[in-house]
Amino acid sequence: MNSAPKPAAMPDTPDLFAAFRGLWRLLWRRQLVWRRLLMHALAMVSFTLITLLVLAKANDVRAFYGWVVVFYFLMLMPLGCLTLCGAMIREEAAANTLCFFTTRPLKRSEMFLLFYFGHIAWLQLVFLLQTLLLFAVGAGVGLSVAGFLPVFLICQFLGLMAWGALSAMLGMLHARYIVLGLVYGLVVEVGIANIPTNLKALSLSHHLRTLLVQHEGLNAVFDNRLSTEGWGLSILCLGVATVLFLVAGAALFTWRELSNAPAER
Amino acid sequence: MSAPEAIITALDLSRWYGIVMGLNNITVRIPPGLTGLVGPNGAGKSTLIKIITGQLRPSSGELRVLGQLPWNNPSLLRRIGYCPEDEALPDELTPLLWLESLGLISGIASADVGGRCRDLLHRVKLAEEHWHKTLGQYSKGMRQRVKLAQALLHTPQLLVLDEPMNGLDPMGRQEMQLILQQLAAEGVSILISSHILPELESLCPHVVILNWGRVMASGSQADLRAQLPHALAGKAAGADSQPTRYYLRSDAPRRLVQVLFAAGLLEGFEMEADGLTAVHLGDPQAFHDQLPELLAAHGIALYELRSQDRSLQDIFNRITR
Repeated sequence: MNSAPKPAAMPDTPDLFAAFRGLWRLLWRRQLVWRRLLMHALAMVSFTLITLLVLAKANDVRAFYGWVVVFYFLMLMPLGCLTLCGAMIREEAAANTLCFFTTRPLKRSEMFLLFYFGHIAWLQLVFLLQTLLLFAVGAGVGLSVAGFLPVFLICQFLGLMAWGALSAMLGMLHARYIVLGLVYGLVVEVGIANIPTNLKALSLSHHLRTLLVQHEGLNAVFDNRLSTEGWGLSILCLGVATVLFLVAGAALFTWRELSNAPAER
Repeated sequence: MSAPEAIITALDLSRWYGIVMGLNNITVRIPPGLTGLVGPNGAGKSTLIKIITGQLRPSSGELRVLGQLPWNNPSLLRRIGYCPEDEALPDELTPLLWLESLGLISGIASADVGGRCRDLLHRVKLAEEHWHKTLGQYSKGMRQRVKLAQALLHTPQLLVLDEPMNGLDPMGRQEMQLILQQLAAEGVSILISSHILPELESLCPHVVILNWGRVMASGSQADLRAQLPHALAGKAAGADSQPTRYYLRSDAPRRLVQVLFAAGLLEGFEMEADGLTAVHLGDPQAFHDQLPELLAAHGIALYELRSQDRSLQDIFNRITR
């Protein structure tokens, strides 16, 4: 049975969509191993329980909105992106399996983008499930929050893309990408974002807030202090930031070897 | 007859890891066909292989594979298959799922990828009964076969194998040799790094010997053997003397050893597998004179008589010491 198989028909130009499907098949199967599933489930149940406790105690729609902005959008989402997208290539390099990807007939920048989109697709699904739980808890305690869902989903989609791109770039920058991410968060997203100058436009959280307050209820949480104008610019800024982070990440992966060589170890 | 065009050419190639030198200004030319890459640990074999497969960049100098620079070069990577030394595989996946996914990433059409992967698993002789298991349940030898299959996915013109015999039992090694010989016969050039020199000896007509990041010797085994007395001339006395170490394969290896001892011809011996005995002789001339009579007198059939002093291991030992 070891006669020569028929040679594979290879296209001259890479089919990136087919390549994405290949990577996606690897990714979701690997995410569904028991250990990871258990971690996801634990995180979701914990978040749901804490949400339930917070909302049941306050029994106020303002508490729901505050919780969503402060904890969900500015803590849970960036940290989720940092742990998954920051590790997306480092994890393969640490497991000595990166060579199976970098020796495929694709440019390294293309491979970086495939990894990013694969991981982001997974994150979008996980956070979509989390959203359903969050709104189910809100409705469960008698809060009328369903009207907030469209704005929420748009912000979540854009936020995950941007936080994910930033995290993927930080992962390429240094092995201690979590520390880098926390420092960035403290300096830019907590520090600069709260300085009442135009500098705050540099922070992703500012643009996410600007989009979130398009929902009147949420703007009331901030005592209508935040401008509801400039949402188009915020979408543009989040998009541009995503692209810039991805370009930087792809350039870093093209420049850096990350092949478990002595120098890398 | 002119030499065939090289598939890999390195010119003044160096690679550092910080202050550690992986490759030290090597210049080498590897022809098509089967080539063995030989060297002790830390010799620079894996570094050279990683540069060839576009995983590392040279610090200085140049390396070209099939006339192209390998780093970030998809059109070249489409023509290279790589099987790493490391055993790491995604343990939670089945071989078919893993291969099909890598096949899609490599650009194989969706309609063809399943059949292609099945053909390859047959080709590397991974029994179908194991296909439903996850890679984490696989033995070392089975993992080697799956790794070889992934290297063959996109029908490479050059196959680069880092220690492909690791973890294989003798039967598995023989099967692997056969597969590689078939691939070579189909026109695939193969570069194999291995520390199991007797296997490379029978497999690879051409060898590159590395040590301390330098190319110590490169060429066909026949050429290296022919050069050996010259290489030895300055190193040891008795370069022209007869070899003192031989491999003997007979139908009665224990009796043969007893007979040779009794005749005072043997200084030492080591019994190996498959009736093979490595012997060290005190007086090679007396051995050659007496051996036919001794064999006839004791009714021992001798199937193979091979000098160890001209083996690839011996060439390697002499060049790297």
